[in-house]
Amino acid sequence: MSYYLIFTKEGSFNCFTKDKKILKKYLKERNIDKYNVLKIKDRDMTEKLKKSIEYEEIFVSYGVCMCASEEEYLFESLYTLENEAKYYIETLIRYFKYLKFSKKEEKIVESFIEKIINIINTCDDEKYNIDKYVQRIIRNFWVEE
Amino acid sequence: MAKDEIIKNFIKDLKYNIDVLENFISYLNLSEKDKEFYDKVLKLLKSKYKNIKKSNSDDLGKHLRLKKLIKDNKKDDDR
Repeated sequence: MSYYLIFTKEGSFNCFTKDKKILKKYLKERNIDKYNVLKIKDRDMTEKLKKSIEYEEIFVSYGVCMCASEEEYLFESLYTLENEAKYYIETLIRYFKYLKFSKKEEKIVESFIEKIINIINTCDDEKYNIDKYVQRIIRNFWVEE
Repeated sequence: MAKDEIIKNFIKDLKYNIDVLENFISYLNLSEKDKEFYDKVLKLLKSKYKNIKKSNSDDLGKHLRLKKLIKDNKKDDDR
């Protein structure tokens, strides 16, 4: 059995797996080169090293492979998205009083305000298309790295 | 703040807020009916923005409550 350690472009350790299929899936999902991977046989891994990396083992969640740091980044950025959206959408709603709308348009806008406020104030992760969000975050995570 | 600057900032902010809204909506789990509704809202808001942006000072009043916008911004400046 071997450990497959995955490194960022800058050379810092990111995550690992012991499963070759998971490794292939992870690399393919992110379009990562195999040269970012270091293979170490289990007998060459010290207990200290195994312990230091154990929390970054790749797992499958939301239909993709990810590691703990990516999952943390996912939820942090979701939190940021929601808070920023709340601020700017509330500002947009305040701006409506300066725009001229027809009666028909006013009805659409009123309905919109009711729906969007309800969404923003709902604490439920299921309101998001998590699969789509995960795909975008994973791409950005590796671009930013 | 000068009237022209107030209007310029409003138009810039309006665009940014609409973009944020569009981005946020793109991540939501929506039914087809809701998707259509939000597409309609975005289309309406973008059309409002475009009309305001291409208006000259004589036409702005057709799309904007100019007096209120200027008055409220001057009130904020005085605070």
